[in-house]
Amino acid sequence: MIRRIGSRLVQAPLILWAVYTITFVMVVSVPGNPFEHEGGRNLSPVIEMGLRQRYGMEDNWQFYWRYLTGLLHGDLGQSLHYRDWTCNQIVRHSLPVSAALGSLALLIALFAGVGLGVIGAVRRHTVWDYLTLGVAVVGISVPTFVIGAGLLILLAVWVRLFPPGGWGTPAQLVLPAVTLALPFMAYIARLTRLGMIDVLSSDFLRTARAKGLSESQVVLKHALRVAFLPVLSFLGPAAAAVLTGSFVIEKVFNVPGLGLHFVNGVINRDQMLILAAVTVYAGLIVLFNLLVDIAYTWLDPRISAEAI
Amino acid sequence: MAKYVVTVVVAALALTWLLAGAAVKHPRADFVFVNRGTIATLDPAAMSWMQDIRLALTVWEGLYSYHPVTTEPIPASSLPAEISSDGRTYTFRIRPEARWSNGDPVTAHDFAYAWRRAVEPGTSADYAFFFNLIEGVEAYVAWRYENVERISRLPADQRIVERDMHLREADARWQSVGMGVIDEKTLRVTLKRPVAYFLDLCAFSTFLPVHRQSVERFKVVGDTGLIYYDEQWTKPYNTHFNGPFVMTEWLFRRSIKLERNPHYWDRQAVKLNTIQMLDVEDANTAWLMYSAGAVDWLSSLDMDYAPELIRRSISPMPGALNGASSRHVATPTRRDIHAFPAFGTYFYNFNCEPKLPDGTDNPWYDRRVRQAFALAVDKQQLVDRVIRRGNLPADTFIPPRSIPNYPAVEGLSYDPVRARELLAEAGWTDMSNFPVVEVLFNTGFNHGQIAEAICKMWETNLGVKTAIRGIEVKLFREDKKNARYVVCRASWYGDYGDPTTFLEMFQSENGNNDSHFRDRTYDGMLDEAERQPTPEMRLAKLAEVERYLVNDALPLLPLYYYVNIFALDPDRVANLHLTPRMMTMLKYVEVSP
Repeated sequence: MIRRIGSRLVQAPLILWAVYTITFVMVVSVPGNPFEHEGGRNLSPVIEMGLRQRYGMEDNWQFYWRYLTGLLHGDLGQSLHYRDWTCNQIVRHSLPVSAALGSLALLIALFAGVGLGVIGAVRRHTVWDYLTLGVAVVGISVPTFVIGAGLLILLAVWVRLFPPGGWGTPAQLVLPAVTLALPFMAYIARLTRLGMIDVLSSDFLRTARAKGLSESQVVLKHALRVAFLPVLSFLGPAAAAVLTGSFVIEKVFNVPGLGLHFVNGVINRDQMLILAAVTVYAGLIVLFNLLVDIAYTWLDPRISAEAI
Repeated sequence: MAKYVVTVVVAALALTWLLAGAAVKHPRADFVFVNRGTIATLDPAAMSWMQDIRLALTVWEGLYSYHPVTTEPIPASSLPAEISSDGRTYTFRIRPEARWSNGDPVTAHDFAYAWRRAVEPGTSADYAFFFNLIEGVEAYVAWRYENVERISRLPADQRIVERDMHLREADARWQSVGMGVIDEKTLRVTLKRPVAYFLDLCAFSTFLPVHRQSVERFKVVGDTGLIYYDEQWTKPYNTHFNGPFVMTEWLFRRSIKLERNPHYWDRQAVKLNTIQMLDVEDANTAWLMYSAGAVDWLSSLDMDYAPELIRRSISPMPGALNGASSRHVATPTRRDIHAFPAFGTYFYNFNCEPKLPDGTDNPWYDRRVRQAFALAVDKQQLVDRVIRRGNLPADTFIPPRSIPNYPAVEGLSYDPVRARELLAEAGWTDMSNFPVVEVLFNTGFNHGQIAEAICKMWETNLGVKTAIRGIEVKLFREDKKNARYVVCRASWYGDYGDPTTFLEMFQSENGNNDSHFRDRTYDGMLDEAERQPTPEMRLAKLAEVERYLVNDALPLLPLYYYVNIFALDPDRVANLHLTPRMMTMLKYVEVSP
């Protein structure tokens, strides 16, 4: 186990360097000028020369090494579009927002999803099963911008229960978190149901029942622990995706998270911000995968046995 | 297990709460508005977006400012300027009572410092070219760039010595440009030639002063002689302001808070105590926030259903297009949506190079072909059926009646018969050999629908084959700038209240002349206008230039004039006017509870 985690730790910087390099090549090879903007005047060549020199972007090699050196010192560069903000400031402002929203959404998705999945599996082929299936289908197939806009119109404009978007109060957190949670919840529900159905017919549960445990104890304590494993491996990437923000949710609910910067960074050709956002995102994925690895061994002793 | 779960949930919720900054509760500002986009920069020297300029004009104040209703320049930080009889020398006396938000007096040095900063390599941006009107600035800036480039090619160890020598010389050379501080409160500006709109420029964001001592702390001198500033200087409490409001909070992509400036010289005129500017990315969300009462003023309505809102409203505000007499209003149910003319035009560029990008002869090189294509577009249909926001069809480049005393100009209106005649005169009797007319546009808004409608008109009226090509905006800009198109979508907003802000675009050497239109007659006419002895004669001459542009030369096909759309309750918000140039002066705004 220690060795496994150790090798992951060695791989991490290499993975991040590869991600950085690939992103860099893409960023500089996409046509389009980061210093010009839609609807503005054409930039004169001398002014562009001055700006490139000022940001250390005269040639790609210089840019590559300067940015990489900055990264090693924790400097994510200067946004070229939001010129008064460094990428560090942008990440510091928007990552906690995305993280707060994401962790709440993840909690909702996890508990509601596992709950629905268990109900579906235990009460298989009953109304309950079809009901949870229905919720899952809606959650996966209806796009979040439809659900989000619907919730806003219903609960913020018609019945003024919640504020119409924005950020800063707990009430503003509810609608986006629920909307963000829905597709993940649906997926988790399906994963849990499948896992549960598999496990419920296995031998060790027959033993558990034979030894006189109540059905709820059998299901929640023994079966769920095994049926949860596929959900756990889904949680790593899901957490990274949810915590770094969602473009659609942030747009619809006007949440100042990190997700918008991925898309706007590319649209604006804000090369520094794209590099910063991708590097931060890659770092989080590496981190969460590592955490999932550790959690796996805790839940399933067989894993650590194999690794040794 | 249950204990674990409870602990995890409680911890996660507590963390969420903390991260969300839940504990803080803010009172609502006197006036809340949604600006039309995220602020790109608050450095007046570097800004060029409407939303940045609007905010800058609220916290800083130039020598002149804009009249809230007419947008004409009015004295602000300066007393009325003294203008020499040859119209080239302006003497500004700064108001004795003008102060920065920390109490420091506003001096002529603050302006001289800010203006030099705006042209220096490293800071300069889109609008630095305005200063080229001042004697000696253009040559100085060119010389500076040359030297920065020269020093950047030197080996690193020689740079510093060269740089220091160069910068000493730069200071000396700057003394000879036409901008002099006579004393603490007097600034004298000498222009290259008389410029009728110079006072208008003095109100513009690029000409705003900055507080020298606080900005200087952020200065960085690069080893090639580039002078730039750590952008953090624009953040609240890092600098001081001389406008009606000061910025007290700036949350990235969330909001900016402004408070009344206690040291502002004209503070009696300021009615609001606090302003909050919200940053809302999605037009639909902004509309929902307005509908829920969280916002007092929406400064643009870009949603797909905006035409429907306009159709259902009658605006009581002066200048609105959807007023009581409008034929666009169907079933008026509201009075808070205001569509009004903007200082901008939507048009198509014809490629005016002799050859098309594929190397074949360019039929549009012949102006008769360009005229024919212009005559074959029914613009009234276009605005009524496709755009539907109350826009007026455009036969000219400059929006009519947008510039005081500028005579009316007429352009080419819809005439498909004349269009076919002109094509025949140009030798195109058989259209089967005519190249495919490809319209290039950037995807988004309704550019695609407009292109389709116009192509259909050309097919029907001229018998040509057409194609449309929508591409991503940054790629579009590259193709447009380098004339890699046949016909392309374009737009232009004026920067100052003078016809040249539009007309200069089609000068042969202009950096924004994307048609690559080169016409000595046109250039000569523009020069001649500047030599007219009186302002009236100058404007008459400029009208002649525009007449020539939109009737004969036609490097562009004007389609419609832009409209702005505001949402605000006119019974609650007062003194916020519908001004075409959108220089909305928040200084005068009043809100009744």
